[in-house]
Formats: sequence, C-alpha cells, structure tokens
Amino acid sequence: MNIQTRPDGPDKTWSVEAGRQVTDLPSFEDILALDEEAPPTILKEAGDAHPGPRPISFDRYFDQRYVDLEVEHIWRKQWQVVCREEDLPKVGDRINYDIVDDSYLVVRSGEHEFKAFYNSCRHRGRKLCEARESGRDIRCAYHGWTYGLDGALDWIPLEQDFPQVDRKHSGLVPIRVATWGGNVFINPDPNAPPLSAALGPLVEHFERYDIGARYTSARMIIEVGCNWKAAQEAFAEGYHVLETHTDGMPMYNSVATRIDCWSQGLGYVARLITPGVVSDSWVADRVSPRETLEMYCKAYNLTPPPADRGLTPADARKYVAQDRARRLHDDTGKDWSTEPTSYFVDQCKYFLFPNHSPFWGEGMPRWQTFKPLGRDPNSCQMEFRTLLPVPASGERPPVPEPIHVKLGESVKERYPILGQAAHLLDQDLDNMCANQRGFKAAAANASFMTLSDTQEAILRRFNELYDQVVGLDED
Amino acid sequence: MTSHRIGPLAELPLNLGLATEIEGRPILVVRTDDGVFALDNLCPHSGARFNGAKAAKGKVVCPLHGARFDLETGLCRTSQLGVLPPIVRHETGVVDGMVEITLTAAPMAQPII
Repeated sequence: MNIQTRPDGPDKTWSVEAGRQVTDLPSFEDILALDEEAPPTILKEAGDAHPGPRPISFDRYFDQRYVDLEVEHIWRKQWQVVCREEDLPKVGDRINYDIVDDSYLVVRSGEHEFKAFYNSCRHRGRKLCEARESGRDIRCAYHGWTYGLDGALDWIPLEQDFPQVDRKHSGLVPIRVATWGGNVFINPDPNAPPLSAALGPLVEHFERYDIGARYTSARMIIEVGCNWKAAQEAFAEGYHVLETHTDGMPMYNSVATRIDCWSQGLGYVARLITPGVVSDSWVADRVSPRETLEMYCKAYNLTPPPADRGLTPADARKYVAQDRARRLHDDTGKDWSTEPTSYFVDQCKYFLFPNHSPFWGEGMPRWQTFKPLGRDPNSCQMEFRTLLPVPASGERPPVPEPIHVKLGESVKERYPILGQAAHLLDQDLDNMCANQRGFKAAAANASFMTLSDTQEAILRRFNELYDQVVGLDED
Repeated sequence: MTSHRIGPLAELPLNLGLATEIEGRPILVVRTDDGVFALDNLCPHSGARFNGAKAAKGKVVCPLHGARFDLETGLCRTSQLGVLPPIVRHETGVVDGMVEITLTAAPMAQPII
C-alpha cells in the first residue's frame, strides 16, 4: 500500500467546506455540565502555565545536530520511561533500552526492585543484553564474565590472568532507576532532580487512579518516517481531527478540547481532554446525538443502544458510561459506579516531558512513548499500549507480544482486526510522513511553526521546555 | 513633524503591546520600566501585528513566531530568523503626564515573506 496517498480520501458526509467558521464553542466545562455530576477530581486545579510564542524552526525536526543536542541534554539527563514493571515479572527478567547510540540494561533485581546499568561488559565492552531475557545472573556471551543482578562482577574465568582487576571496582556501572504508575524510569544523570520533580502534579492526579493497577492488554510498536518530536506533536492536539480524521468528527468534540499546562515541579506536565460521545462542533448541525451514540458504540464494540437511549447528548454520554461501567464490573469484579461519566467517555491524555503520555480514565485507556530510531532524525519509534484495570483477584494477564508496524506499512492492511483504531492510525501516519517531507520543503523565511493560541498550546509548551533543556533559550 | 498626544502615561499597562494609528500608520506603543516606546506595528518577518504582545527585558515578542525586537533600536535579536530589517522607531515624549509621539519620516520596513 502506498502510504504516500490519502488512504480513503475525505468522507463526503462530514467534510467542512473551506471558508466556514465555527464560533461560540462550548468549553469542556459546558459539556461536563450535561452530566449533572460533581466534576472529576483531576479538574480541581487548572493549569497555571501559559506558554507564549517562540521561534520553532523546522530544522529541529531533521538536522543531525539536534540529534546530538538531544543525546546530551535529554536522553542523558532526563527521566524517561523504559518499560513497565509488568514487562519484567520475575526476578532476573531483563530488557535492553536503546536510545540513539546509548544502551542500558534494566533488570528486576528483587521482588520489588529494579536496577539499571550501562549495557556494556567491563571486560571488552560487548553489549550484554539485546532482547528481553531471563536469568539468575548477567553473563557476557563473549568470554563468560558474569555479573549478579545487582551488577557486581561475580566471576572472571581465568581470574589469575587478570591480577590487576579488583572485581569490586569492575561491576556493571549503575544508573538511577525509579518507578511510578507501574512504569520503570531511568535517568543516566546522577545529578538530576528526583523523578517526583518531573512528575509534578501527576502524582496527585493519579493517586486514586493508580496506573500500576492496570495491565497491558494490547501493545504496538510502530516505526514511522518522521522525527520523534513531530510524531508526539501529531497526537498533542485535537485541531487535526477536522481534516485528518474527518469521519471521526461525529464521535468527539475535538474542537472543544481543553488544554492545561502546569508549572509544578519541573513544569514537565500538560494535559488535553477531548469530550467523547458528543459530536464535533464543526458537524453538530448535521448529526444527532443518537447518531453519535450509534457510531460510537459501533466503533468501540459496545452494546447497541435501545431505541429510547441517546436522544440527548447527556443521555448518549450516560449510556456509554453505564455500558462501560457494567463491562468493567464483569471483567474486574470491582464497583465502578462511583466514577463520573467523564471517566468512561472522555479522552484524557497527559504529557510528561520529554516523551511519555499516560492517559486517565476508560474513555481511551492508553499509554504512549515516542523515541528516535537510531541516529536518524527522520524516523522514530512509537510504542502504544492499551492498559486495562487488573481484576479484583489481582491476577495479571501476561504482557502480550507487541504488534510491529514497520516503516511504510499500513496498520489496517497488516492488522485488519484492529478495525477503526487502525484506520485512524493510518490517517495519522500518512500526515506525519508528509509533515516530515514538508519541513524540508519550506522556504527559508517561512520555516517556522505558526501555532494557535489554545488548541496547540501543548506544542508551544513542549518547545519551550525543549529550548530550555537543550540550551536554545534566547534572552 | 507634529507630535501626537495619545493618552496619559499612567493609564498604559506595563510590558504590553498596544496598537494605535497615527496619520494612517499602524503604531505599537509599549510602556516598560525604562520608559515608553513607539514603533511601527508590523513585524518585518511575516507582517504580524504586535497587538497584545508581551515585553520583557527591553524587548517586545512578536505573537506570531516569537521573534524578539529591541524596543530602543527596533533590531531583531532572534538570530534564528536570519537578517530582518529593523522596525522603524518613533520619538516619544511625556508632557504633563501625557504621552506624545512624533512620527519618523522613514518608511515602514516591509515583511521579508
């Protein structure tokens, strides 16, 4: 399939003709008011950071020098997610985390303990771990040097031939590890502030919604032909739904997306919330609440609504919330009736600088990371997961093997069973690759991002942090 | 050149770009701790207006792409944007608490794109 052409073309029913404007947009609070409930706890404190305009030149998405700046200031200095705790369920399980040319070995060293090391043997430097593996120790496949799970050098074959080596000083070199929400984070910088500074408001927001009590039900690793930052930005706003996901407009009011950025801690956290089961204001005059509900239930495999439900937007939202609450009760044995409607229907995505997105709620229970693919700034790797609540028994299903989507592949053609989700993803991938090509095609004076005040605030915020951290901040 | 009275200094908010028009020319007025400045209200990059722009450390920030311009000289201090013509400045004065602007004869710098 030629990923360079639009897979489907715009859906004629929902496309908006050029020149139309939509004003008088509802706020997210207006939509929440339909539910007639106390608002979710995560809305208690609005974002207090309001990023302003700044020059964001396109070359940061394709110039090689930014790759090196990012290695120096981001990948070697910032807390970053390497995997989830559930990926390494048994003591001795280990995995490699490769980022540009750096590589770290991450191991479950104890029942509730993780360690991470530079992924290189102290003998002659061979990379120790290149895939997910298990073992009682860490043995180099070259000459058999063997390290404990704590990194201590336990065995040098023919040790007498290494009289100068003091094993105590030749163990694996450790780096900092911390966990939150069932995720394992590393930071190669021994002087970096603690993970809690990066997490900022996330800790409080997710206190009642422990992501650690969720398991990976689906996992996808997607390689795409654009820079990791452009990939992340493609998912950081709802503004693109109008044109990229035209046929999705009846199900979400993307143009009423609410965005918050916080200064708490390092200021690394932002959030977007897109209301679900309400149609986009762009097409509200063409679609009834009932149609919205029918489309939504079909897209997400929910129980088809009886004829008397979903006749108002409030009831459409309530129907989905009730259906999801009931299914979750069946799956987990837990009571979900105390959660607000929003928890079940809205898309609520948080951003943690530099490259991770935890989601809140069951409306779109996802998890995303974005990272460069080797040294090439023109391609990246995205990892997308669906996380579901662990049953009341506490029994965790094993983490499934990831689905792989390689450069240029269509998700829908490779994995038709994914249906609507694959279709949406293909629409995004198509755009992202065209954006990367467009960065390079821009006229020299017109090669700067022009960002909207509200809808694209997260892009402003990301680049503000990026400039600070990488040292591009002008004064 | 005649000077134009535009209003009381005390009523100008600090560090905020205010738009006005004098003899058909769009003018940006910014009051900071260092004084009050008047420049053409047109960014020489892409023709944006500075209405509502923020000012800090003696520079006003273009709301479109974030280019920073020195309020004293009109010069662009954001090297990423390449060489831009300076924004033309106009003389300001404060007489009896009222801000007065005298237009410079020089033509407005046009956007490069």
